[in-house]
Amino acid sequence: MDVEETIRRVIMGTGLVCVLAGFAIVVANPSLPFGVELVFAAAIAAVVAAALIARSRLQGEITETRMPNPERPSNNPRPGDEVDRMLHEMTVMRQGITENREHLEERMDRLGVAIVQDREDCPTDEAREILQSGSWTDDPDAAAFFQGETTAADDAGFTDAMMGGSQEVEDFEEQFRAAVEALLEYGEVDVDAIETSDDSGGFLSGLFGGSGGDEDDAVEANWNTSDSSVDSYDTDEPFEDVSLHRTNRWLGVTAFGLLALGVGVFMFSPGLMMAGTVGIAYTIYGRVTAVPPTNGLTVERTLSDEDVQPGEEVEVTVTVRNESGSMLPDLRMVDTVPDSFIVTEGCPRLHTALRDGASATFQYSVRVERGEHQWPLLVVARDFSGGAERTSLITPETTLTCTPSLKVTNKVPVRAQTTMYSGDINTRQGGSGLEFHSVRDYQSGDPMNRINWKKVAQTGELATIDFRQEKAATVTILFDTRQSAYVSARPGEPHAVDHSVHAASDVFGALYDQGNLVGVAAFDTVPCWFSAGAGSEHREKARMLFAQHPALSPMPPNRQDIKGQYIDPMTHVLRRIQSNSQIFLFTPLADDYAMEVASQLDSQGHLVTVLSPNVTTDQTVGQRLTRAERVARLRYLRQRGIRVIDWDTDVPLRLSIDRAQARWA
Amino acid sequence: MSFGGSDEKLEAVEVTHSPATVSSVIAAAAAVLAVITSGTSILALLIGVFGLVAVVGGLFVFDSERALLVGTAFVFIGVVVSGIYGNSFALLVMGTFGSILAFDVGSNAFSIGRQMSEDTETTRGEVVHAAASLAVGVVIVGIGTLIFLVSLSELPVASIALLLFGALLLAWAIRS
Repeated sequence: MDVEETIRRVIMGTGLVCVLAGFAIVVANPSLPFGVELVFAAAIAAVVAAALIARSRLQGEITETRMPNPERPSNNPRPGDEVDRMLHEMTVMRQGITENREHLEERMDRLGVAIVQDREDCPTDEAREILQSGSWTDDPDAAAFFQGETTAADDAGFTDAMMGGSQEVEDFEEQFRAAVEALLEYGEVDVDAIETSDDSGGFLSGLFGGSGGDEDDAVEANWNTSDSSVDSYDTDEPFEDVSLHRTNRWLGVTAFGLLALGVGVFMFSPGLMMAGTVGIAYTIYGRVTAVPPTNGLTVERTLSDEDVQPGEEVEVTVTVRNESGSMLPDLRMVDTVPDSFIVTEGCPRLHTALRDGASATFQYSVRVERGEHQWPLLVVARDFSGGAERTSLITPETTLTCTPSLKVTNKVPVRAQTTMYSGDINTRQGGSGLEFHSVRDYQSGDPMNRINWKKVAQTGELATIDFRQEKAATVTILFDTRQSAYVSARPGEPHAVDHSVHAASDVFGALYDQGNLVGVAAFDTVPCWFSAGAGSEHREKARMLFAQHPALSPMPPNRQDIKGQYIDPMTHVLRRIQSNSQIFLFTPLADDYAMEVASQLDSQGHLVTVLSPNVTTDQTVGQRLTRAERVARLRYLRQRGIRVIDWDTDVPLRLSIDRAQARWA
Repeated sequence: MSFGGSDEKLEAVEVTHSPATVSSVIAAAAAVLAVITSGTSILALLIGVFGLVAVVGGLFVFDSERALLVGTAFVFIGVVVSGIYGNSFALLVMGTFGSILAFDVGSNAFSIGRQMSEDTETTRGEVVHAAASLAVGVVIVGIGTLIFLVSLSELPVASIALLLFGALLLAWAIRS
């Protein structure tokens, strides 16, 4: 028992003694050694206490379960958010100025050199010289950014001390922005102008503090766990009690009661004393009622379809029945649909009261995402007064399985690195096949149907026609599913990994149908490896892998419990990959690592095709910087002869492939 | 996107957390009742009307629970002031009842708004809560009035002080 609890008991005991003494005086009516002064003092104390309590209520000392907004899409970071955050820290919060500045300068240096190299086709040193000479831009601020760089890095410790003056930080920010813009222009990176949006809140809503937010302040995005007060929705139990606590929502009424009592005693007004009594009585009402247990609730969830494909809509009906034997007067329920789902129609919530034996139903539709899903119903039960609140999770047994179909929507260009198995790809080797390759001298053992009989008739010499051999390729679909790949252009849009996996499940089907041996791998903290193979069993296994492998999950890795040290995520892939395998690498190219993976595989002799969903945007300086960085990486890869498909995610992958093929041809 | 087949883009529904409507209306009505009962004094009426504006504004215009709380406090202060100017016992009790109901049901409207959403079916839950508060109020007022009318005139000052102290301490202990 802690000190607070002891104090509380002492106060309560004293209070009880006082009340009993008061009644004793009423009954016995003895003469006492104090008079009206003490009564006044008590009255003033009551008014002061009322003011204190009112203040704590206004400061929001109520504790209620914060519910998630599972209707809304998950809140993935946008590419470039970290740059904007660093700038914000530096300029507004004045924190970590040196580290952030060094980080930004290093990134800008790398980007600047890459862009100059790409344009001028020169070695790194020369590119850096051009950058520092400032001859590449007309903007003096942008030029100054790269010129001042070495000195700032040299005496970083000194500059940090000087940075007490805000001027230098502001100068840095200004130069940084100018430099990003100048690089975008110089590197001919495609960006739109920044739209200026003006979202200053209304004057009056600011005045009242707006605890509930404005009318049009709709919730944009959501993570079930971080946006609610429940720590985890992963539960194996069909019923889990999360918490039972007091809400303190009657605090204000206590203040009302004390105020009226105090003033009433002061004025000897029976009416006001009665008013105070009413307030105190309501406080006690808020204290004494208790929440009945909710484990008597049975929850039934029915789905219009239990086996669906990603992107399809499923209708969910939830029925809650009270079989607890007592009434549940205040039930607030939210069906916590998984983060990767969105609700497209209806409302996954209900607020009602249920008598014993009564039941209630609500219905909504969700757009589903790959995986095997089972999710709990979050139930917050209150008593009549709402003074106490019990939070629990009830998980019905219904499971929704969502696997991609691997259906073929378009042909995928495969390159001429093949296996010994016959297949669909025309090779440069002659042999049996369909398309004419060459005519050569007859060698004994050549099949009779390939002898060039016309030539035999003309000259009497035997010759053999070779056709282009058609072979199958081994293709490994490789995903970049590190946390940095879980970025999306706007909240609510699929992140790069979702785009990749959706596209890859089509690509897998197409490659498989073309007779190739297809495998799947991902570099992530969870190793994912599925050897290339063929056959319908292989295909079915791949389908389940797309749906359920944790490395390809629609949730970023840090939202799952993964413990372990850092290992180069490519290690397991490099160890297992066949030497003649082609690679289809799906990556948003959000950092240099993905680019290095592509060039590393390329230099090991694999033919690499990079499919890069473009999720960068251009509305803040950080977003523009990351877009420029991505463009620079694309150009670097293309220069190395690696095929790159720059996939604009607003159009189907097929169109981007066609466009890229035209470039390759 | 390359979702097989489903070309129409499925958007997520809007979610807004504004105070629940039924409770808001009940709370505003209760506040109006409280202000009317304090109308026996001009000063009390003015304070009450100011509070009422904040209550209605907080519930329907600004979505601000703080405005509602401050508003109900002013409505109640209006009731107390009318008591200082000698309002009748019955009107005072009704005014108190109205203010507390406005406070309880109003803050419940915000609580429901936060935990549920605008599109949620909440009527049944709201009505049950408001009805319970009303019923409890009627019982409290009934019993309290009886006790007071019978005994108050003969109550010694000392016992009032002790009872008050006791109630204060009990409320304090209950609070933490």
